[in-house]
Amino acid sequence: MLEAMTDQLPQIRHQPTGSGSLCRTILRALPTWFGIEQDRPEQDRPEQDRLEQDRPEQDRPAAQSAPLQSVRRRPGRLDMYKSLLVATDGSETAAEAVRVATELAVVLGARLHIANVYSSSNPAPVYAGEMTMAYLESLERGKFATAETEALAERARAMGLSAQPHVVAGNVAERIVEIAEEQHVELIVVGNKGMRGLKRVLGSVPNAVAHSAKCAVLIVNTT
Amino acid sequence: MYKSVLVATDGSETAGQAVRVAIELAKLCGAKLHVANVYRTGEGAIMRAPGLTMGLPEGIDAGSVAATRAESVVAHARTLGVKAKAHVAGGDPVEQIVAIAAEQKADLIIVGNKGMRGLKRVLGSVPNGVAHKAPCAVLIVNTT
Repeated sequence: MLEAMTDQLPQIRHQPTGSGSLCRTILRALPTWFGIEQDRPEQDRPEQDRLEQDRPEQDRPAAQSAPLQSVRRRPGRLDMYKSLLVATDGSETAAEAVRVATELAVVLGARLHIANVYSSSNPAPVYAGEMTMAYLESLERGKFATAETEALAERARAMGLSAQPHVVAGNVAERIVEIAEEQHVELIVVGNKGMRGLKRVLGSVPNAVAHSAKCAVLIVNTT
Repeated sequence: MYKSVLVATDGSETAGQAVRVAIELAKLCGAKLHVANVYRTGEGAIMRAPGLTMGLPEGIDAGSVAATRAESVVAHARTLGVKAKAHVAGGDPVEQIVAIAAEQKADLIIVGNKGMRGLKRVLGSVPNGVAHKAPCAVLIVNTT
């Protein structure tokens, strides 16, 4: 009897934990276990099929390449962003972006990556023995950034989030986009630092990130 | 979190993705959703937004088409339990979107990233313009 039941166990895909999702999964599986055939309601049809039907011919894209496609979808629902990345340079305005990102991650039930990219224009010493002041300085900056970012990650974890700090040196916008791709991030959060005078101007980092990111970008009003 | 979300759409399929994200996010935040369907006016307007009046009699008023689209999105949002309101505006999309956002005191504007050319991703002029001029946060959804 037990074997018969387990044979008929449907492929239960991993659902993100949320109130009732486990119960709902079991409830949905029960009819199959007991051999009762049921018409799956509208919303249980895989979203892909439903979208294809509803879209008029000419609007269907030639290739499914949007990153959202790679996210495991709950049938009938658009899975919101499950992996966020917030970029910080340790400044006050960046702290606001981190605060927003943390709150958003809580609302979305998403994993949070915190990236601190410090620009180190000083190359590493050529010889092991050659420790220039500039190199030592950049090491210090790195250590400081690491400590700071870890603290931010801790604060996020205290709110129940799964948080991962990243500290790298290099071109800020490039590194941010790189880390986002590596970690399969679906939403990058940046501040809008770079405001000059009365007219708001996007600082070069958020602007560059917005243009080169392969995923969604949220530009937070931090200034 | 956000209490007043504005999503801008031109009625295209890619904008539809941004709308889906907007409805979901508004639902999660318990925010009111403003749907703005902005249509270009003036010379060559139809050329730049061919989808708007597709299949409709020639000379039909772009404004009423846009209004109908916005209303249908709002109706859809309401069935999902999201408080929504439709806005229609003709003119320069960026300016209209920013104006509506200011009027409605939106704290988040959601746009698609349409304007992708070739291998390098380039932000279409509308999301780029909105990102630079918005009085509030801007979410650029990866729709292309």
